[in-house]
Amino acid sequence: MDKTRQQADHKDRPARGADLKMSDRPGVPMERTTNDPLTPATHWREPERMRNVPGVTRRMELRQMTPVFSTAYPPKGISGMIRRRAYNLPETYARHWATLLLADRVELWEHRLARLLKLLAVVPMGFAGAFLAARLLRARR
Amino acid sequence: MRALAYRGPNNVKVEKKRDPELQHPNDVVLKVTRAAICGSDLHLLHGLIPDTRIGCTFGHEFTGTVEETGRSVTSLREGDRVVVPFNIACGSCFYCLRGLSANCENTNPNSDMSSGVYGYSHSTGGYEGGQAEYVRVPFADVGPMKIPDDMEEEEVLFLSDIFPTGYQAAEMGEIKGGETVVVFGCGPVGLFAMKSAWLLGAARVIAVDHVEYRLEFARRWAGVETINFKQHDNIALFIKEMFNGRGPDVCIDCVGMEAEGSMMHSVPGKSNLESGSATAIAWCIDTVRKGGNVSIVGVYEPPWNLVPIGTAMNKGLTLRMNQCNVKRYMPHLLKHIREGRVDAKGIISHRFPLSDAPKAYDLFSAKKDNCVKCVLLPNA
Ligand SMILES: NC(=O)c1ccc[n+]([C@@H]2O[C@H](COP(=O)([O-])OP(=O)(O)OC[C@H]3O[C@@H](n4cnc5c(N)ncnc54)[C@H](O)[C@@H]3O)[C@@H](O)[C@H]2O)c1
Ligand SMILES: [Zn+2]
Ligand SMILES: [Zn+2]
Repeated sequence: MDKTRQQADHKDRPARGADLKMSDRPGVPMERTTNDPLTPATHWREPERMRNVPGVTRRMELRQMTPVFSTAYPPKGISGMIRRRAYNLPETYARHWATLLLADRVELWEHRLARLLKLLAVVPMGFAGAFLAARLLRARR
Repeated sequence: MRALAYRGPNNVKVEKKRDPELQHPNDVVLKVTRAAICGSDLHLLHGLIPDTRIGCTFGHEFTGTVEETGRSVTSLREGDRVVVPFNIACGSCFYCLRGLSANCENTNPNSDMSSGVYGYSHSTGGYEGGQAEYVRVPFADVGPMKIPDDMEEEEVLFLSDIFPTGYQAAEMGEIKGGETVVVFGCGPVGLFAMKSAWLLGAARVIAVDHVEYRLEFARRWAGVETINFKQHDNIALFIKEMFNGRGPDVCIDCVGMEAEGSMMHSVPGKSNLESGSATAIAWCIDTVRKGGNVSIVGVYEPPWNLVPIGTAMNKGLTLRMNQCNVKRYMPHLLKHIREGRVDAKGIISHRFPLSDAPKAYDLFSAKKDNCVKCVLLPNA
């Protein structure tokens, strides 16, 4: 199909070419070259740092936490141990990512198991079973 | 508060959680007014993003009202209505100075790839997301944009992600006027990429998908020609033929890691031999003309994908990609919305209260009920 025909197809689009001018485009040039902060309201050169919170994961190359981070869901349980291992491997290793994916699957099973145990706990049979098991264990000692 | 919580692949629930707190002097806490569900959230839902921890809240496209402000916040006050970019950026690091807020190095302790992102797994920092009644917003003087008094939340909601993403996609395609452009994917991101291709002066825009109602929507909302890839054995060849056997100048991937259409990718993708399926990248590379541009905004994850890089090399292609640097597009794209060139709100097909979030995920994921974009109203 030739160009004229193609252009005729859409010549009535009101927005067409509204940003033809390069200077109208926010991402051109690709990188900014000023040394100004991203927004006028960024009133720091070095951001203040959050108080350190133990237990939060970080990649092994970082000597300290980033100035801002999330404290939600620090790793725990077996999946947590696997996650910590993963973050001790550089992310340039495929193993790092494979280990993280493995931890996700393990956590799912931990979660299912925890739910199952909860369920068992509310069923009287579960109670009785646990009771019996406890008695048995004690008798063994 | 109530918030969406991830309970494992294909399982999200709405649960009670602790209210978020200010943790850094430049934090604010927002009362969420609108929270959209994104195609990226589907990758999380389907368990494809590494280190998605059980319990976490998704949601990176939201508007809200400022509820509490940290002591160093100067640009926002209690009661301000804002829309928030999905990237959490410090505004002052090496990357932020260069405008690459998607790559900020001060907000994601877990990976050097990208900045922190709201509700997007611990590989982007483990921040809680906005599909909740309240959300913590770090670096409040950098990211959030005040919503103009005469505008509604839904008119600007998509400045948080998908409109800038679609625009950046077109921009990275280096459309200078008169180009032919093929957009793969007619989801929300693809739709905005099509509109943006027009804005940048494309001569012809063709959209590809296999979901009929989405193709129909793209024709209507974005004024493009469409192709259903299920109707062609070899989609790349078919499209090349439309352009004298050469192919279009620009191909844009707005599909990402859950692409359908090729067993070569779906099988290794589903069995973790590659991270999701890179079908759309392969199609872009095979379809575009020699010396052309491929722009990738569909999301992929490490460690690797099967990409025909040799084809790209021998064809002399330019490949560009990134998470979207949302902040720098906001003011410009606000103007397009305000002046009526882009009806951003017009792509919303469903609205739900927060309690129906699981249903919204199901509709959007399974593409039921002509679903294009779901918006949650957490505080309605
Ligand atoms: N780079 C960024 O900053 C950024 C921001 C937002 C979203 N995204 C990504 O963009 C992608 C699209 O997001 P969305 O919200 O539009 O998602 P979506 O799931 O609604 O849309 C994807 C569309 O692609 C179609 N599709 C599937 N396989 C295809 C193929 N082989 N060829 C063409 N079309 C195909 C699907 O039918 C669907 O309509 C996702 O991967 C998302 O994670 C990236
Ligand atoms: Zn998104
Ligand atoms: Zn930064």
